[in-house]
Amino acid sequence: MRALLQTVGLAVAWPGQPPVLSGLDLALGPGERVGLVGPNGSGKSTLLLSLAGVLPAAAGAVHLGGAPVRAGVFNPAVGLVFQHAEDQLFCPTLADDVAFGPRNLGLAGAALEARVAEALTVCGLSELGERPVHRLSGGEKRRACIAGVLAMRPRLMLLDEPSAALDLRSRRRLIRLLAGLDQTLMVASHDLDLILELCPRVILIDAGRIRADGPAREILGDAALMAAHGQEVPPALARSRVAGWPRERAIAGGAA
Amino acid sequence: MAEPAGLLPGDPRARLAMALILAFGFAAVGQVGTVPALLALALILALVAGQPARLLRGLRGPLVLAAAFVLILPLVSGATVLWQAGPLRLRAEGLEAGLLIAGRLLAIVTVTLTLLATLPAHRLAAALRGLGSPALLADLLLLTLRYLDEVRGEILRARLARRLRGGGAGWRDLPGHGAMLALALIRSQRRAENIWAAMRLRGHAAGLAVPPPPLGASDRAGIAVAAGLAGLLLLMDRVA
Ligand SMILES: Nc1ncnc2c1ncn2[C@@H]1O[C@H](COP(=O)(O)OP(=O)(O)O)[C@@H](O)[C@H]1O
Ligand SMILES: [Mg+2]
Repeated sequence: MRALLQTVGLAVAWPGQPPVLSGLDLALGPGERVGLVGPNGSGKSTLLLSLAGVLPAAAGAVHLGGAPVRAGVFNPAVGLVFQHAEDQLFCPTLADDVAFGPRNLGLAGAALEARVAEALTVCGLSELGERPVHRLSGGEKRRACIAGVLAMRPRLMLLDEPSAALDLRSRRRLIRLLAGLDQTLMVASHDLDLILELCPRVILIDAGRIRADGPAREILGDAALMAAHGQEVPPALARSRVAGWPRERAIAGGAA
Repeated sequence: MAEPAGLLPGDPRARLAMALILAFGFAAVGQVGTVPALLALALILALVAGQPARLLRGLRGPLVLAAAFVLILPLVSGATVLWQAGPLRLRAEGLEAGLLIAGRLLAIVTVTLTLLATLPAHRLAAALRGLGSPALLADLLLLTLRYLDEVRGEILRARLARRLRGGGAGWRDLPGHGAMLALALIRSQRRAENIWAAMRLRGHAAGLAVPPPPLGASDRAGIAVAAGLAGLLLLMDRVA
């Protein structure tokens, strides 16, 4: 399988500071869904910003679909959903905001409207197009951000803490939405249950390096590894061990 | 975006051009005698646009400023004494200058608010770019407006947070307010930077968007009317 996203010896730094992450080699296949976990300040958000081309690589390179991602150069193939919805929504109405990206891609008229309607529908927001963005609920805002990115039809979507500050129902709705997407996803989150449901593969970063990269259940279920990096095994996995359930069952149950 | 445009042209570029033309025209007026015409013109434009509540809200600050000019200038500048009561002397030249400054100020603010206040910042920036101003300038305006917006929001939030935890109000707690303001400025700057990044990630200024259509007949008529009115006003000003 040819990688969609590949980094070679990538180092990421904020201007004038030592690298937050370095020596990153990772590859994502098309359609793969990867969870990015690690303690606060380990550089999850920083990595996403760099993969999206917001932060330049301090060393190494990022390739997307075989072409290098250059910082500051518009690349519609990759979409980033920011942690704080307020950082991303800036148009007066929801439909306006979702149209912003496609319009910049050169769409206009009926094609633009169709693209906006499609993204709103996928995100369950088709009724709210004319709503001012500041009058959306937290869950709606989050989905609005996703709609704005989806409307550009990126191949790779990067999501930063997508379930932060969502109530249970909004969170469930978000998981359903993300699970239905065809895009390659990288999801940075502390919500390990969400990652377990959504991502077959997990990358654990801590203290500037990738500490583990593999099947989600193995990594998230490894109590020693998780504890070493300030994480806890998510309840769904912990329970399955204690009770001696087949892990598959526990996870299938969680995903239903 | 549908808005109650009334008789005004809908294209942001046309509105921006009209506002600039009228504002420069108003600013060039030099005779007190022209001030009534100036204000009448601004008033008519505001009535045509038909958003009195929004306009009045926007005019509160400028009204205070204008009143200050009219009240203070006659007391401190000029030679011809109109009226005297003890140490207070009202002078003609100061009064004239005050009225002129206040009139121009109010007319310019009215016209700008009427034409531009309903436009969101990114439309305004796009209009600037559409009128041929450098992209950097337009984006700077956009970010500045957005930044001010964020600062306002941050200050309101911080003030509320302070009050809810018993923070003092008024002048007595000036240092606390200063710290709050500094924090609000920093936070807003970070947010404005994030927004800028988010916009560019979605292709802002990538130059791929379909260029806006040429101005329509009503838009061009609007600009022509604005130019005609500004010209007429300046003519009156010269003759007066
Ligand atoms: N805007 C910024 N400027 C400078 N340093 C930053 C900025 N944002 C984050 N950092 C630093 O980068 C490191 C990683 O932060 P971050 O990527 O936000 O971690 P995470 O998302 O995993 O919690 C931290 O040490 C943080 O202090
Ligand atoms: Mg983060």
